[in-house]
Amino acid sequence: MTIRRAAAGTAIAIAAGLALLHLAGARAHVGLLSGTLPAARLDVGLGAAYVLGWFGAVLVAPIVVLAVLVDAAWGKLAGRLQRWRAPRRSVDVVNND
Amino acid sequence: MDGGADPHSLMRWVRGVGCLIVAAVLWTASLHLWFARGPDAVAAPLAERQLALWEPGGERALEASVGQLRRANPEWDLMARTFAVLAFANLALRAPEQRARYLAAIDRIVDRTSRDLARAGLHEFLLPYGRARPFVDAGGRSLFVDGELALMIAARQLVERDPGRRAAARSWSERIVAQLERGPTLLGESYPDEVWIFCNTVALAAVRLHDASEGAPDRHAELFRRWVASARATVVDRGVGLLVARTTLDGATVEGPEGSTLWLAAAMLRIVDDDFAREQYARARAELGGSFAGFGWAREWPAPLPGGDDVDSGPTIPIVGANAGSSGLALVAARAFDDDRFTGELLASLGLAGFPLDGGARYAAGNQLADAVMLYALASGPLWQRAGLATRGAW
Repeated sequence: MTIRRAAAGTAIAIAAGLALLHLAGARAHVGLLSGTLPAARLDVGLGAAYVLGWFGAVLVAPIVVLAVLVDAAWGKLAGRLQRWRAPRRSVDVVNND
Repeated sequence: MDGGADPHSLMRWVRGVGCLIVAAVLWTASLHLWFARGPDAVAAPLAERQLALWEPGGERALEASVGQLRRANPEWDLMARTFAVLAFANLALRAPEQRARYLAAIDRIVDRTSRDLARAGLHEFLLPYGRARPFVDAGGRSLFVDGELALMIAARQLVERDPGRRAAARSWSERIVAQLERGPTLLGESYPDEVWIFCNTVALAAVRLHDASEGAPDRHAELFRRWVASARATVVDRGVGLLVARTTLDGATVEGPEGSTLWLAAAMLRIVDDDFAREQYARARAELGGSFAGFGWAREWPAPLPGGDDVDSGPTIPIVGANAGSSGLALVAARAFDDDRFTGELLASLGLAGFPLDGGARYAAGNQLADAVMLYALASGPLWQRAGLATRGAW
């Protein structure tokens, strides 16, 4: 559960960081990707941070969230399998006795 | 004494890694679906903005945009005009009801460029080192500047002949033919003793468009045949079979094959020698094209011939070698050769890493030139067909 929370927290932090950069207008300063540098040095930093935030939000965060979902689904499936096996095992024990 | 790792924590770790791998595979395989768009959906907002820049009322935005280009490279200013004209010419042929609007924008661009050249000379569009020494050729002209202006005027005339521009169109075409013919290997300088194949193929396409606009598309067929034969002998890299990027006026290679030259050269050569163009595209696709999980990109240099980043190519993303300049121009070639799969992959990458603004009217990762290049790529087809090429031109 702790790992799941940490993963979800990471994904939310990445998305929140990107949202803040977006509100600060950093998206307009990503011209460095094509060698078109903004006039102010601060804008270069904002643009670089936005690029990192964007790829974090598009590539990293969804994978983390999906992994949490897959893990949760795996846990549920394993629990059901255990519950399904438990009565059979007790029946087997009774029969062997 | 420790009896070894806790089997439960080991299982948790394995399970966590397994979940991450499954999630990564699922997300990577489906990511391109979020960014996949058709060419018309991408082109429409780009066309509106490019047109608005060159229409009355767009002056302020245009000057700001041109200023940004010129701060990086004055060549980009001229190239943005050329690609805008090529895009508008194709759009004028695609949508005859809008032809007057597109032609008016083309005329504004051509007139402004002619005025700029008359006022400041060819160095208006060259980097400062162009003044460092005289041109080797006695004509003292830049095929980059003359070829791009000739291409603009010829494209305009091919869409709809303007009698008032006929003499200028002929004059620019004859000027670049004379420069090519004077070259020891049929190549013209863009900078002193600096030949760029990019500029030479643009100039050849300008001649073909002009001839087609005059009703004689094969007037310079013999020059084209000799140029291609000479190019095969002197400026095609023997290792990878691709046109090199830069030579001296004598044809000695200075820079080997690079994507930002090759993709456009192949597209231009379609109306000069289609077989040679197709051969160059196929080789470029094999050496420079990359794709993964529905996304496409292009390298700037073939793997066996690595180079260094420069102002034209922009930075390269390590490992995959994806380069913004080469990838943008790869879209021009992919469209010119009806390579729908590569087009779709490149457009998905544009959606992922182009950072569209204003509903896709411009892309923050590039600039006005990049937007004009993309618009030209997506609109291309009808102009080359009118010049005599049998393309599908589907859009």
